[in-house]
Amino acid sequence: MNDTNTPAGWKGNAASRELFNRALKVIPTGIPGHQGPVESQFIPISSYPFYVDRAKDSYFWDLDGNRYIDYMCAYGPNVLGYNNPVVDAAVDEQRRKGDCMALPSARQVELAELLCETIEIADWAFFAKNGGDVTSLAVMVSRAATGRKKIVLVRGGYHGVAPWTQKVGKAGITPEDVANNLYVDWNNFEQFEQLVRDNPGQIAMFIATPYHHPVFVDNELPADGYWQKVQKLCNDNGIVLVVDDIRCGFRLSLEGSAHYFGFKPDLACYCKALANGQSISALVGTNALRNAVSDVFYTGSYWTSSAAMAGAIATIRELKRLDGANLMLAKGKMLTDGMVAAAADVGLNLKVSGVPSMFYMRITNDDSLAMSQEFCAETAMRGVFFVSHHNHFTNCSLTDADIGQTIQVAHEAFKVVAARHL
Amino acid sequence: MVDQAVKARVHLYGLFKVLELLPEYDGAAAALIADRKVTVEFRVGGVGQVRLHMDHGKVRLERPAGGAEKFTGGSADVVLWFPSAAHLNGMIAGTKQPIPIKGFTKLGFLSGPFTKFMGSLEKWLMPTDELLKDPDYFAANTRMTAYLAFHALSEIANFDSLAKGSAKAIPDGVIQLDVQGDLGLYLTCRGGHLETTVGCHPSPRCVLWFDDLAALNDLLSNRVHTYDLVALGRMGMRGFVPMIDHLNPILGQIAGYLK
Repeated sequence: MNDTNTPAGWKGNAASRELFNRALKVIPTGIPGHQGPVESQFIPISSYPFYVDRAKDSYFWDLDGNRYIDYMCAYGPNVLGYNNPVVDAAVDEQRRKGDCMALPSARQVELAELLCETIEIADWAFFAKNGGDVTSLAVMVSRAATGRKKIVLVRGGYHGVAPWTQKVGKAGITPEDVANNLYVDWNNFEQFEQLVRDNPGQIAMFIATPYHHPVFVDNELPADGYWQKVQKLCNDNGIVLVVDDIRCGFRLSLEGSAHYFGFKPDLACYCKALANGQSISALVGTNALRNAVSDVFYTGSYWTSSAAMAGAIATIRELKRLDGANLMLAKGKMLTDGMVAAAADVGLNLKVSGVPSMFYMRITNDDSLAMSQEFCAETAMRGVFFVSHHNHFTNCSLTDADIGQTIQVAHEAFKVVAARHL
Repeated sequence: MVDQAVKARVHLYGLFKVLELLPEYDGAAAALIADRKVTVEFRVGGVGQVRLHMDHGKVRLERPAGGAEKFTGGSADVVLWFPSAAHLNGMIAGTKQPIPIKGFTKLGFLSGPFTKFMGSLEKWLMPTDELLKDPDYFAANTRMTAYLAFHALSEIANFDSLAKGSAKAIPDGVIQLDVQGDLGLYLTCRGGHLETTVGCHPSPRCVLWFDDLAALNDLLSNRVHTYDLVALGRMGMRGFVPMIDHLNPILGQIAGYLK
């Protein structure tokens, strides 16, 4: 496979590759998970960094000294800018007092109060570390509350990596892990209605993201009335409605993405943007489920760590001050409008889907994503970090100058791709 | 869990397909059929049929047209019958004999040169570290193993109950295996059904490429994990990668069927 021609200014990725070769000896696959070069869809890998040296605001620098305007934002957590001084100060202050201790600190109560005050449906909050912790908690709470086993998920939806979220055929997943899962297509209310009819009194939960943002395909917003119908069906049948707001949370509305789309779930899951990169997640819910969540035994050594909670408090206050969700939506709109125009200028069609603060994009001149992959490789070598398979993220520190530079880089990259294929 | 009927399909449509390559690499095997023009038909009850056309050192595998289980036209000089999948699998394992139902005058060829010809495959598909040191053997072993794996893949995807679930999720299109022009095989995926073809497709939707035969051999032998090979730049994917995501679980089942 031939590498793309490298633009002037690109320092290559030799230092990344060298470190990666060391990693392969001691870490399975070198970089496991979504940030590894395979899952990240680095095509070709010669065009991408594998490691970060440092990060600040909307930028990161790799080990070879290349700087990138980052549109992945750590896959969501970077919502105010890397190393935001307000958040860092709050975290540092708390760390000096104590972080992971024998007991929680007052930060836990303060953060729960803030979440209840901020998120529309939240009467209480339960803290953990990763998003997957709270989606699994949502399953347990739903089962505890209803006495039922089955759960309904949307095909293509992502709720973490616990066995119940995966598919038979994947390594380590057994049919028993997913035996109680029922699936519907996104926006297909009639399928959900049919499942409820076919499984009377057996469904504990319906879980979905606020809009459909799977990988590799265009994202889809909810159809008019979809969520309202789902909510009513759940309410009428005693099914717990759970919104997985882990990826979207605070990028559509600080009151919750459900509020943005005009419906009220019973539970909502948060992580990523909650604390600007500090490790914390939260399940929030209504008073009707307070007893059920209280009954569930669910805990973790680091779940009461105070520094991350201080970070979350600072993050939410900053987001309110900046009107962060609307700011990120506006920045995303400016960026994507410019990129669509830049693509059209060279005869390419760039389709943008999802919401502007977390847009997905692909070049539709082919149906294989190969042109999108080439585009992302070209922008990476010109200092803009996009991926071809996943939605992107804007953050509050992104400047108009950053956006302008991005559009310029995108135009150059589109020209290269168009010259190859058109 | 290994389904015996699927295993028989892997043998019939995968293992026997590799016989097409055998004369090219194994002069001694080629000599066994060099002066013959004979067609041997294998009929496996409840599974299907193939014809091996041997023509003065060249071998071609024929399947019934349109994916049918049985031939409706043409003919064979010899017909070997296997009452069940287990019977064919037993023959491959060396524990059972086929039942000739046509071509009794060719029994000498069948039990002699033809049996030796088929037996020659074992050496090429069961490498030792010593044999792999020979570059010619290495190349032949890699190509034959790839042939077997990719043809087995379609049978497993289409008939194994677990694999069918993964196959159903594969988006339509063509996945091209490309070893830098050294070897071409592609999978046509349509409505969850897979078909393997030798060659290069003009417009694959996804390409699985390898830097060289050594990279492919490392993958097929499980010496190196896929992710390591990709990250090291020795293999890669481009195009509609979700096709490969859903193919991966099926690839993982091949080893069980080839034991």
